[in-house]
Amino acid sequence: MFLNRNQELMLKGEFGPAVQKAMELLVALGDAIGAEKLIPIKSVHISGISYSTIGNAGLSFVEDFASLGARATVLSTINPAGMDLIRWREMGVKEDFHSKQLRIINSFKRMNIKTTCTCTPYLVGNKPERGSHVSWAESSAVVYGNSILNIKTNRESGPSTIASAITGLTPLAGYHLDENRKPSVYVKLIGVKVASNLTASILGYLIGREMNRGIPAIIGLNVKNLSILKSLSAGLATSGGLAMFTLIEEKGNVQDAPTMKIDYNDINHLLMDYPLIEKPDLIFFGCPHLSLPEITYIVNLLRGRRLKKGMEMWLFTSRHVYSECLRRGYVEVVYNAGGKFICDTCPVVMPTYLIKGRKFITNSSKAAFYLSSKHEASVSLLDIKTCIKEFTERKI
Amino acid sequence: MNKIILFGRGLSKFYGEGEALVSREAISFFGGVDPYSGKITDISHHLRGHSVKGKILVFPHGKGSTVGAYTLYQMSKLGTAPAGIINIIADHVTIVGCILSNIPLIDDFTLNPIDVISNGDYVRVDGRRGVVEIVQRKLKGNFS
Repeated sequence: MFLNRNQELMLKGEFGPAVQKAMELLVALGDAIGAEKLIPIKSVHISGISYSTIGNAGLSFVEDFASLGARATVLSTINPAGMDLIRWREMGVKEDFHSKQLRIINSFKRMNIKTTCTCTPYLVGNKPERGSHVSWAESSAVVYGNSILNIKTNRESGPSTIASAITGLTPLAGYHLDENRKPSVYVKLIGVKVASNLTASILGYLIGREMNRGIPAIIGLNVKNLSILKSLSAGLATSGGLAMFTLIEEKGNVQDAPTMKIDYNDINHLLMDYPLIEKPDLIFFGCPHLSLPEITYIVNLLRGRRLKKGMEMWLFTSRHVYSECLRRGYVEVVYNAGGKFICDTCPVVMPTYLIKGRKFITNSSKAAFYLSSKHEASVSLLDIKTCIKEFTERKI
Repeated sequence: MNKIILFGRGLSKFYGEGEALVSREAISFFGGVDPYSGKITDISHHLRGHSVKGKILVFPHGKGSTVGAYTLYQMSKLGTAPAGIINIIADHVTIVGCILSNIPLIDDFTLNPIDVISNGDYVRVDGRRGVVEIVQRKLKGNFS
C-alpha cells in the first residue's frame, strides 16, 4: 500500500506509540484487502463497547490505547454499553461489571471520543454529509449509512474503527469505491407489504440470509419512513455480511444481475421460527435504538392503558433522544403504563445474567437472533401495535 | 495419500495446523460463538454445539456483528480460538480479528475450499505464503 510522507512518519512512531499502533493495524488491514492507499475520513463510529461483548481482552485493548495517549482526530461516537450508565444498579447490574464497564467508557472519554452509547449515531449528531468517506462499525449503522445517508463505509470492526478515530484514515477499498456500490441482486417482492418495523426487519433478515454478500436492489419498495428503513438495515446486517442495499422503482433493462423473489409465505416462515411463547414476561422495543417518531407512536398507543399483570416493558434509546422524551412528557406516559426507558445499552449487549431465561416479545429480527443465540432467552416476534393491544389493558 | 495443496491469498500472516471443521454457512463470532468454551451457539447454524477451539475453521465469510473481531481476540487470550481460518472471501471483521490474534487467515482460492476440505482432515495453514496443505484425509481413500 502506498503511504505518503506523513503517514510513513506516523507508522514509524514519530507521532507517538498510539498513532503508530493504529497505523500498523490499518496498514495490515489495507494490505490484506488490496487497498492502494489510505484516505481521510469525516467520522467514525465504534462498536465493541459493552464489557459483556469484549471481555477482559477487549478491555485491555481499549485501555492500552488510551494509556498510550491515543486521541481521536475526527468526530467519533460509540455503540451501546452493557448497562444504563446512570440507573445500572436499578437494572440489577453487579458491581464488578459496572466497574469494568466504566473503565471502558472512561478510556474512550480519555481518547476524546464522544460516549454516545448508541447504535444509531446518525440520530445523535454523527451524520456526515452525503458522499463522505467514514469508518463505521455497528453493522446496522453501516447498512443505514451506505444506503440511506449515502455515506461510504466498509463493514468495519471494533478495533479498526478505533485505529481510524486516532489516525483519521481508512484503507481505500470495498464500499469506498463507486464501482463496488452497484446492485448485484434484484429483489422482487410478491404480496409483501412493509408497513411495520417488524416486517421490514424480517424482510431484511431474509434477504441477508439468502444473499450473504453483495448489494440487493429491492424493487418497488416505496418506503420513506426512516424508522422502518432502520429496521430493514438491521435485519439485512444480521443474517449476512451485507453492508448496503438500494431501493429502486423497477428493474428496467438490467439483465445481467440475478433476481430473488420473496413472498408473504417467506415472511411467515421466519415468524414461525419465533412463535408466540407461553406467558411472555418482557416486551422489548429499541433494536436498533428507538427514534423519536417511533417513541411518539408507542406513547400514543400507551396513553390511558397499562401493562397486564406479570408483564414488563423496556424501551431502549439513546440518552440524547431520552432527554427529548423527558421534555415532551413521554417518559411519564410510559412509566404510568408500567413500562420504563433504559438508555446507553440494549439487551443484546447487557450481561447474560439479566437476560437468560427471560421470555421476550420484540419486533426486531436482529434482537431475536442475538437474544436466543447469545443469551439463551426465548423470543417471540410481534409488531408494536399488536403487542400493545394484546398485553395492555384500559386503565379504570 | 498425496498432499493436496491449495493456493490462496494470505491475509493474516501466521501459521497454524489442526483438524478441519467445515461450515457451509457464514459465521458471526459475536453472539454466534461462545468465547469461553469455543462452541458455536448460533441457533440457526448447522454446526451449533461444535467447538472451534484448535480447529482449522473453514467457512464462506463472516456475517452479523462487527464486534466479532474482539470475540476472536478474546478467544485467543482464553485459548479457545481456532488454529487457523480459511474463507471463500474474508470480511473485514474476520481479517482484523485474525491479525490482532495471530491467527492465520487465507481466502480467495481457485477451488472452493468448502468443497475440497472435509471435517476432520488434517490441514496446515501458512498465512505468509497463502498456502493450505491438506496432509491427511479423515477417511482413507475418501476424496469426495
